[in-house]
Amino acid sequence: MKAINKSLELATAYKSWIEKLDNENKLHPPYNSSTNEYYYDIVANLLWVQQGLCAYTEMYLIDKDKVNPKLWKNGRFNRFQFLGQLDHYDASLKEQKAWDWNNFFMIHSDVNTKHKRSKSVNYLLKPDKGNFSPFYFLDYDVVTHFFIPNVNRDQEMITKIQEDIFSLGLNFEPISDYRRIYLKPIFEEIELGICTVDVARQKLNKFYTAFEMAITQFS
Amino acid sequence: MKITRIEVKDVNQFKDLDIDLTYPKGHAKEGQPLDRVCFIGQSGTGKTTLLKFIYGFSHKKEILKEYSLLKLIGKVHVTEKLGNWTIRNSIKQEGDKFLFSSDLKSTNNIGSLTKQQFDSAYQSNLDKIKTYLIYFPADMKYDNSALEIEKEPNAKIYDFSEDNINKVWNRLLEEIQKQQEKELVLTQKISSIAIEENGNIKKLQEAIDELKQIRDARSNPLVNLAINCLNPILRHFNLQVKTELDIKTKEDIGFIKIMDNHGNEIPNGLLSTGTKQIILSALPLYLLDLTNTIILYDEPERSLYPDMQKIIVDYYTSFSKDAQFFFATHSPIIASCFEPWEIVELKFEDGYVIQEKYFEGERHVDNYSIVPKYLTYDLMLSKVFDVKQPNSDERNMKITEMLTLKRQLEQMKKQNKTDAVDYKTTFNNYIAIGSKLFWDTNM
Repeated sequence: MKAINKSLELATAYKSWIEKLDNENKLHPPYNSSTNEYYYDIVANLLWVQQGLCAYTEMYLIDKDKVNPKLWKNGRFNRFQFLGQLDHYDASLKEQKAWDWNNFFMIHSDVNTKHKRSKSVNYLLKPDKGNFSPFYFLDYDVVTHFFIPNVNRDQEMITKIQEDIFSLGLNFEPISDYRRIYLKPIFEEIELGICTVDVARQKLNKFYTAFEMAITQFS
Repeated sequence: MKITRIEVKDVNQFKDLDIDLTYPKGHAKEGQPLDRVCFIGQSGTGKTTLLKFIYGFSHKKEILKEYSLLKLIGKVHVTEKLGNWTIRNSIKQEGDKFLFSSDLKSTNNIGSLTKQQFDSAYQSNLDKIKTYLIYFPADMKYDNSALEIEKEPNAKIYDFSEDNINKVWNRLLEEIQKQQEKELVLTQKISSIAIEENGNIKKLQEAIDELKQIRDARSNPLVNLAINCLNPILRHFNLQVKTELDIKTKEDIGFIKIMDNHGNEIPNGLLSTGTKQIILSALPLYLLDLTNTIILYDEPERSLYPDMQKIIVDYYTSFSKDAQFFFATHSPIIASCFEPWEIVELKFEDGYVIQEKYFEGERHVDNYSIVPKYLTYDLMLSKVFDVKQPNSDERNMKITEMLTLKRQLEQMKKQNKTDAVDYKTTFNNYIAIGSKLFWDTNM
């Protein structure tokens, strides 16, 4: 889970619309996914700031160049094909603040539909939170390829991090499986001296945080 | 008769399905029809429909009426092989009628035959088959009412969605009756020796030995049935076939009698559903001639504990090397009994059903990347049955908790805090969670 600078610089039409609603204290229209006028703008802007990755699991969703700023016109982005789904980070806000930018992330479809759904969150693992650093909250077990809490935090926080790891699907099984299948051969190459850490890092196109946490544990 | 190919185009959920049911290249039986086939796939993918297509098209049966025949015209082809004959079956329409149509070919030298002679030559081959097809539906009924014994000695199709098991049991009944008569004669002989010849010990002993011989001998059909058919499987339920014929009339024999290992007869009504299912589905295989027979099992795992599911496929298929067995199942245990080329996995893709292929490139035995027999049941679920999360949420969360404790222990160890109370408490928690997860907790 990389830190995300969720600047809303591209979807400016959506930005004007949502700011107007909020400034006038108007209710958000109900969430109706792709039928909303600004749906693809929101998705494209998020995919750009998330560098084409799932905001929580860092699964690959799209080549970020497919949503690059040059392709935008007047703050709008055309309908397009993509993997992943728009998630309401805090599902309890979906009723009242259905279109709140701060509550949106693009995430892997399996995590959204099969796991997270309306699970509650503690707002500890929120990648766009100011000064968010995954290293402060998380650690990585290279044997199981599971994320665990950073055990240097106090017990209360450790428990809350565990809950967030669970809610956000960081160890959701197909995801941890994909991660293991992807990273294990890379780690083996590094350990056998076939590849350096720097070369391996250049080749990555997903699971950056897990990679960085794991290599600190190599002898 | 064995099925070699099923083609379905634009029928309901099938857009363009073409299933090759022959052994792949590199196999000793390359190109010949598969002896065993296993259909898997989530509900609605059409496993039972394929069984019914095999049944209906190969034997031109009314069973297809539940599908709109109009929709099947020219869109479903089921190809069979019988020796050198190949038959591609389909449905055509003539006026208001729907007719089954067979495109018959042969690799024999038959150039001089007329169409009629050609068809007749094929028919005479077909007539040699004693049993065309046996269909075991998912909801088999354990109806063994002895009063409704059907006599159909020439039946060639056994459909247990309609037929009573007595249709095959009756065959054994005749033999049992002959055996019983022999026993009755001997019993009477023993009585008369005892009464009329003042208990002539020598004659009495001879008659008793003869009776014993008959009861023990292979000529007792029930002993044969017990040894060669049911006891090997019933022993898993701690049961066996009662082979003593202590009965007075044929009606007393009724249906097969089962007893526990202490000799107590178990009334049929008290047998478990799984036991009844095994008896019903094994008896026809034992009692019928299965040469070139197609045998269809829909959900053979029903009511069976996993240990039984593990052996049931080999048990059923052990009855004949000349039959072709089809199984439609939801069970990863059943599916794990098959070679990869014997599995037909159906799955939805873009709203239509396709066959998931387990090989890449040429259909060759060396090109199969999934071999069910090598997989654990966990792997069967995730790799073959596409269950994306074999672990429950609760287990997943507990693993995270256990790994956190492990990391805390490692840290305390580095800091030489292994004597601290915290270390022991954490260690005990770690071990306790690990043991519930059946996890190797070596530090």
